Amino acid sequence: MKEKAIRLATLFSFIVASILAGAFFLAASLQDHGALARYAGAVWVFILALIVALPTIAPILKKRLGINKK
Amino acid sequence: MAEKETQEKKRIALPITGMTCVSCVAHVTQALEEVPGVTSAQVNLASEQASVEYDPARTSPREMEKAVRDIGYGIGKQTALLRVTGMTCASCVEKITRAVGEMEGVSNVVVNLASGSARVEYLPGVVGIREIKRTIQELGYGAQEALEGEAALEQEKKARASEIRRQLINLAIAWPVGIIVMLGTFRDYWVLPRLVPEFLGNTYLLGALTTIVVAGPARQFFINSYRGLRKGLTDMNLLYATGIGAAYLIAVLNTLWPRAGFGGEKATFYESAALLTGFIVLGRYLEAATRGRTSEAIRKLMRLQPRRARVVRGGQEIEVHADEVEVGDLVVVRPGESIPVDGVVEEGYSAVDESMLTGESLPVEKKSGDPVTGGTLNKTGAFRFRATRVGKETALAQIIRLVEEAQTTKAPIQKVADYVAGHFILGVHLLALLVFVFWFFLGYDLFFRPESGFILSPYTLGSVGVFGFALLLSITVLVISCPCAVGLATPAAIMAGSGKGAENGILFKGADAIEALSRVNTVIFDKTGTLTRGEPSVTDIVGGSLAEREVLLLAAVAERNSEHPLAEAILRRAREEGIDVPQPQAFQAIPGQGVEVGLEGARILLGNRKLMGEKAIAIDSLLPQVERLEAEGKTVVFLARDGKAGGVIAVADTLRPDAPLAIDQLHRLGIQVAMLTGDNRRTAQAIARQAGIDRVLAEVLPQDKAEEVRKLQGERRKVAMVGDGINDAPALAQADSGIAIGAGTDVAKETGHVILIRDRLLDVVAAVQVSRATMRKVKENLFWAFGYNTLGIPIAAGLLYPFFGLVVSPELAAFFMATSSISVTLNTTLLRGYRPPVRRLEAA
Repeated sequence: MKEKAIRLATLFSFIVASILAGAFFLAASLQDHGALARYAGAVWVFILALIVALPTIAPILKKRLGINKK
Repeated sequence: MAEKETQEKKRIALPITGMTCVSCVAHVTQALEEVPGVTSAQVNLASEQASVEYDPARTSPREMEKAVRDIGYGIGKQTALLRVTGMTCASCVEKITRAVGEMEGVSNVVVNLASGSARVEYLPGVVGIREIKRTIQELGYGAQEALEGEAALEQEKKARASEIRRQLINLAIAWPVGIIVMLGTFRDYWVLPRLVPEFLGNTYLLGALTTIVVAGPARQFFINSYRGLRKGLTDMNLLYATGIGAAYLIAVLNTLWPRAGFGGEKATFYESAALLTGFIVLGRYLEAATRGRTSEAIRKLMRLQPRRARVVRGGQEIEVHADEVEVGDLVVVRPGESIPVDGVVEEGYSAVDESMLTGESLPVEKKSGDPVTGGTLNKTGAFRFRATRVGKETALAQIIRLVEEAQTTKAPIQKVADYVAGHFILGVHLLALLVFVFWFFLGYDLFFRPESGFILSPYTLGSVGVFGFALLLSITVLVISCPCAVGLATPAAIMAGSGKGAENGILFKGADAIEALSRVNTVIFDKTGTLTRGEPSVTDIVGGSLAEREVLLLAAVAERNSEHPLAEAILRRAREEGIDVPQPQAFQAIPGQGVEVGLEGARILLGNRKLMGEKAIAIDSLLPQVERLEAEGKTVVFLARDGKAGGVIAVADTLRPDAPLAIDQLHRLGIQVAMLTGDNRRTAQAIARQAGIDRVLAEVLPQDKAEEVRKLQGERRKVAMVGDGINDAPALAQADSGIAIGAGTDVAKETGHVILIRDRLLDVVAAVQVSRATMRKVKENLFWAFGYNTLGIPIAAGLLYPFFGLVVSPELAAFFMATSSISVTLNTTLLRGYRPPVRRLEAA
């Protein structure tokens, strides 16, 4: 059950991070930044967003899936 | 582990306590089966276990435990103390607490960074110590059961040596390589072109050298972050891993594809990745060298435990290991030797230095019948004693356990700090993201100047592009934000404070006891036995027709065969004055009034006013004196010889000699002092006047003492209750801080949050002073730790850049991060030299 929660959290975090990275990429494209800055910036945003999202989503899912704390 | 899964269901074995018969079995079974989600429960009286099948999605062992407790039975929980290695900051504490706390069957977990320990309370039928250790190990930390005594010291020594060795190897790789990489990177600046060979400036070589550092000393950060993320947890390792990883990756990209747009070949951050690792590893090495060790106080106490003992067995005096001494053994102690276990002296006479346990500086005389305590030092004579407590039962072992327990608990203030630090990592990554987005979209265009550079560095930013610049600031924020100092601030000071208390004969039962006592603004003393000696003594002798000494002699004769407490006081005073008390003739007790005896033909009466009235003895001349004495709360007895009033003797429970000074010192600390007693108000007021007490709570029945404490708390006062812990245990428990005084060496039985080994009121003052000094240190540490982050993060985020054109390099951020932990540790060590000011007064 716990592993399932982590797997689901990872999936959701990937989705959230991808959306943010995509938004960054679009915004960077609108500002005429170079291709590498756009791609590399999107990757960095993706990494940081994933790091923020995973530990935020995991406890919420654990709670939802009935993994009691004790 | 007694747990197996049956599809969606689980089965566990719960240890049940308190069952005595089959009806208990029925009660427990019913209670468990009524828990929603429990499908079956079988309770076994003989094994005292309940086998429970349940749906884990609907219930948990915790709810079953509650159901069992609600009907009056208990769950046999176990507590394990684990030594945890590899923790470096508050987020490690949070990570372990969360991972272990989420384990089924774990009911409480307290992780202490400063002592490198975890105290886990768990249900043995649901989870085992091996699984708990495995969970901690899977997060990337070392975990093993903590040992006791010498073995604990040995275990700690080995663990520390291993951690220090590991970080030394990392240092030995990171620093020389890092310095070479730095020289190579800065080869074009200052005098370096003349000193550094050209080949060292080759970016491929720099890349290869940095790879050694990243794959070697920095590897631990990547592995530990991965382990945490796999469980959905983050910690400091992730900050380092992202910082080092990003710097390294960009440098590699710029080396391989200089025109790719990451800032070009002049923007290879190799030295950042290498020196960042060097500084982080240096910080870890210094931390391993200065903390993670048992407090100085515990080590001192452990060293007191003698290794050898001389016992008499079969008429022979033989030397054995101290652990092999058994209760009932006759132990021989020679001058200069330490006493191996607790016992009672049978033969011989000596003076024993007990300062190490009680803080009492003067040696205590020991003769036949006196108790002796293991770990204390025999000074002059030789004696033999009968062992009464050995091994884990000795006073020394109890004190060590109590101090250890105090050091593994958390003060409420620490829980806040841990919460903040635990959520810090997320906040920092979010901030790093915002900083990156700001400098990428706005900041770079608005403020970037190619000639700008790093603080304390000749390196200019040159051709760094928008991505490289925004990334640099983002990485620096990650690195500078380490909450290591926040995690150390409280536990380090609590360890030092509880150790300082133990040195002074003050035992705090937990970090919360230190914090609670530091906040106290009202101290209530129980009167009898705490503020006073607890036994009546003669305070005044007033002669009438007889001289004072003759009054005392005749009163002693009259009371010679009595066992009344007043009689004991008069006889003790007569003995003290060297009076030989002859045997009276014709003793007659007059109930409720006094006694009448004959001595050498004279008729002697000793008793109250009523007795004098009935025997028609004129006492008018004594009345002014009597009224004065009664106004002072003293009990007065009249003496008459042959029908004439001879004089009076006043008896009272007297104040302890140190009471006025202790109360004065408490006043100086801004504390209001109250006295609680069952005595009448007049007697209580008299004692209060002598002692300088502000408030008297008189005529309080023993069972109402706790209620009086509650009333004061209702006035928004933080109350400490000082008592002997015998008949005032509920009041001690009710108070914000219960102080049990005069525990002697049987500390384990004492109630209260703070235990004073000695029977001295000045130790109450010392306890308040130690607790306040400790909390002051905690606040100072938190100020420095949070202050550092509050100051460092905005600078790292580029706040100064628009004004001065300077940014913090990642390696400088790592250096600041390392120094913050060291400064907190050094600030805490100042507490080691602390001496409660009241001790100086005592010495004077």
